[in-house]
Amino acid sequence: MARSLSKKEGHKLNSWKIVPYCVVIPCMLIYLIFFYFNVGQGVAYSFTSWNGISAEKTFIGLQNYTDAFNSNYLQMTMKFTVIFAVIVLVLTNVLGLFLAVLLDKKIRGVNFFRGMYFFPAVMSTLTIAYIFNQIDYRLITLLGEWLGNGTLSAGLFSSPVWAPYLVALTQVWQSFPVTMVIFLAGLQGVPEDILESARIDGASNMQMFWKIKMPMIIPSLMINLVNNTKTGITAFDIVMGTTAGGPGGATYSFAMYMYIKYSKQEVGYACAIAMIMAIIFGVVATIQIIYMRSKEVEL
Amino acid sequence: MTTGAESKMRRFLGKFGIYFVLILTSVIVVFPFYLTVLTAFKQPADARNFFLALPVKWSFDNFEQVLTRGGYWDALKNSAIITVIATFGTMAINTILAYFLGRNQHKKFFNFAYYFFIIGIFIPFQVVMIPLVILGKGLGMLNLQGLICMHIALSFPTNVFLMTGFVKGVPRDVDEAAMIDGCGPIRTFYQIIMPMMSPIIATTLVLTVLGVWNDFTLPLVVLQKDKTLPLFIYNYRTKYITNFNLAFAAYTLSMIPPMVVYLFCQKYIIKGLASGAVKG
Amino acid sequence: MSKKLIALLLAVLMILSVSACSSTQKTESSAESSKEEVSKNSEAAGDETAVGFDYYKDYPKDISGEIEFYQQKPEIEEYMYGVIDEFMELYPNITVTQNVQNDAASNLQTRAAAGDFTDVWLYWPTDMVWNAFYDEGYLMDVSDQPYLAYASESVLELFARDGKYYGVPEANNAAGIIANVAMFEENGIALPEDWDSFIAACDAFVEKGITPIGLTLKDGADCARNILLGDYVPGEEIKAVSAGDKKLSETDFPKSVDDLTKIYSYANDKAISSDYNTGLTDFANEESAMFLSGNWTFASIRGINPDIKIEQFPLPSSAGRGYICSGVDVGYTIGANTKYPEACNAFVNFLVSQPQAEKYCNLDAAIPAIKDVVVEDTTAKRMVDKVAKGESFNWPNHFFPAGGAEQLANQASTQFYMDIVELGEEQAKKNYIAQMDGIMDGSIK
Repeated sequence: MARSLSKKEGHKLNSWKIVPYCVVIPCMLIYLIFFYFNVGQGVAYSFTSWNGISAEKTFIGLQNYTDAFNSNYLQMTMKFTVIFAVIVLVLTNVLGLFLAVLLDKKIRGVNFFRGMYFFPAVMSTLTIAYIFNQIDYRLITLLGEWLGNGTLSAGLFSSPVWAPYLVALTQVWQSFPVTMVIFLAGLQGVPEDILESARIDGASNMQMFWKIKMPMIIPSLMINLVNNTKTGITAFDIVMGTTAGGPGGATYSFAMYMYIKYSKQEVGYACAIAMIMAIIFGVVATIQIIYMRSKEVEL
Repeated sequence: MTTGAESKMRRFLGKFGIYFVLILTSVIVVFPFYLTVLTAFKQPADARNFFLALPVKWSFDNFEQVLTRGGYWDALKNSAIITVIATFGTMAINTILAYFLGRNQHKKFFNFAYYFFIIGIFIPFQVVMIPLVILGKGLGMLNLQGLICMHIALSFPTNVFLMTGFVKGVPRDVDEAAMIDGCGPIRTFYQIIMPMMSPIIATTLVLTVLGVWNDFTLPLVVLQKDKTLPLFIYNYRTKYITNFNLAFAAYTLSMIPPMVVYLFCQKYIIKGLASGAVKG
Repeated sequence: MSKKLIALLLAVLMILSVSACSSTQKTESSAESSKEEVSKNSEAAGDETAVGFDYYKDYPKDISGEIEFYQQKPEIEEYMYGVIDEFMELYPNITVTQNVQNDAASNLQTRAAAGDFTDVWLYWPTDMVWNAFYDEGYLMDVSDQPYLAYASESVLELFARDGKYYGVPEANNAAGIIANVAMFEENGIALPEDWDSFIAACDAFVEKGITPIGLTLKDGADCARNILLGDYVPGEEIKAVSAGDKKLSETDFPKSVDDLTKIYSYANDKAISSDYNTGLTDFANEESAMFLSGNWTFASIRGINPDIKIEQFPLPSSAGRGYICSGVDVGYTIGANTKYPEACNAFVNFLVSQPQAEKYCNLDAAIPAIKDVVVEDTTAKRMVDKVAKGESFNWPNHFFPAGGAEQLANQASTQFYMDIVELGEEQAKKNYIAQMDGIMDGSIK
């Protein structure tokens, strides 16, 4: 059928070319203003001794950066961030996947458990932190007295050795439900007929999990990895509510460290810490993105 | 015959094991809740007794005080408004943005745009926190409306990453057919593609709702006068307020609304998340 | 002249009636929550004040404006709502909104950075934040306001910069030992008068299996450190240290560390995991005989345990000056850029007037900074006497270098406590003194 392009159709074809720009460019502008512009501002402040109140921002060059690198607290912050991020990333995903596999089974009461496990996710992090703080102070100390264990009886959030781990575990307690639900969704999406035919071929449960289910939940895994990495490196409320950075700085997360500096009129210094943080995570991010790009076919 | 009995036995043990694990985990999950509610009913003098002991006298005094002291309903209202509007805005903008990014990635500009957005995933919010507040003041945005805008603006990286990945998995023939039928891009998106994106929309919806509802840092620095629920709770634990039981009553009250919503939506959430994973 | 005399007479009358009123109330309603007491008090005072005090001073009645009252003492939020209501009845054209913020300093800083300050600000002067705002010209010069005359001169001086006044105090605090009197009496131990009797009392409690002192070291807000430091090292010397003219270890600070170590050794086992809230609750529930804190805790302690009998006395030191730590608890400053300066001044005038100050001081057992205020509560009598004799010093942490020094010093206290357990007293002291030196000269950030 010979059809010449009518004026209207030509317009339509053009719109396929133009509309994407009309959507993407304004979004980029918004993001430019709210994100990149502020990153730039932060860089500028980080070279000053600005106290956050004064109209004057004195340029002091790299002073803030050298101060930060000479400070014990930056090392402590990095150490805590690594411990916290690794525990949150690994444990949340392992626990989430494990429970998702259990709840994927057709057993009685499964809906009840699915509902119950989600509760920590709807609570605010701050609330959870306060509650665990009380559990530590009222119960762990009691347990310590009963066992005659000095570390326990002083409370684990007050132990420079244990506090980072305990803060991380508290975060895991809150984070695992969402992770679990996303895994569960992935598992539920595995077509029944594939599993059935594998079963007929004599595949064991383990084999079915690793060979069939696992590859099919890679997208869920990706979502969870991204989400939990974000949780891991931006910890703030969880620290604020449990230890507020203590004891002696053992649980300084980057955000906590910054906030303390910020609220003590060392805004320039806080911005320098932010930039150090941005550079470290920027490198990690680049590696991750390159890796994810290579996996993209599966996404 | 014996093998049959054996496998039955094994199945029974397996089931037993599963329930054991599930119940154990439930205890770990529920225990802090139990403590919160219990403490909310106690009076300060109860602190003399064992932490796990039941209150000497059950009373709703603490709840009553939290509610009458004011602030709770306003905070709840603010939190609800922020969550609903910010989530709606985030979803509306990010889905279509991801669609065009995913479909045009062979073009240099869109490829650049894609990276332009997702670089932000791993740069923590705190990096821009201080300048953002100053910018917000300049734009007159240190209020609820501003907070909503900031939530939306900062939602791009994660959502673009997740949604664009998904869009690429949606077969191209679908929109090519629509294009040939003379359907415009916007209409194609809303009528054809968006319904197909429902699983990823469900996922990001859940993440966004929880993220915005529970967010503490952004409102802490942005809101000057209004409070959200996390800020309301934060104020209940200042240096000088020492009545824990009151604080725990406030915690309990702040948990109730999201739980009620969750209980009503639980079915849809899990279903929504699961339904589309087929296409993953 | 005669007008003033009448006013004074009326004021005295009113004091009598109010105090009579509140004392009968106390016996009646000791079991009731403190909240109700507050509202009753304000009602009673409200009735009297209409005749008792000229709240208008030189201000016309028809001033109008919308002002923000910015404050960071959440424990008096409700009380303040009552005060504001009273004020708005007098000045119907002024609207006052109360803004209570947890992180007031950083919140205000954010607003200031963005070019916005508040109208009336409840704060304490000499502190770094206040000074920073003063330096940048955010605070209003109120030197010509009539209400400055209400305040006692010595406290008012704290608000003076270059001969001008940038605020007015209402009440002072005092930090020391809060003793559970009943526990002392039951065990036949007398309230300590000096260092030796204090140590003897601690030992006696240990012998009876009672924790002598409750400390709250988790959040590092360490009263003991501040009190001892200020007792041994005068404020001027700390200022010199902050300016870099001297090292802290060259002052008497090491001696205060010796005393601090001794006090730490009598602390509760859970001191390190105990924050301000938990520590206060535990003391109110009689888990220790003494608690180191200020008068602002009285209402909270009694709120938790209405039957408790407490008394505050100075924390002695082995070789210090024997002074006590007392600074401004509540003071009011006006933002220089307020749209409604007249309304702000009228409001501050109202807040620091004798009847209002008396109401407040009786609520918090605070040490009045306003003349002619009578406080019924004798819980802190020994502290008040010391202040009256001039044997007090301002909070030493107010003289720390600007920036994060105070926060770091708090963390150092926590570290010190942990070091004592792990490294032994001598090494811990050495580390702590070195740490404090570094914090004060800025080499530790």
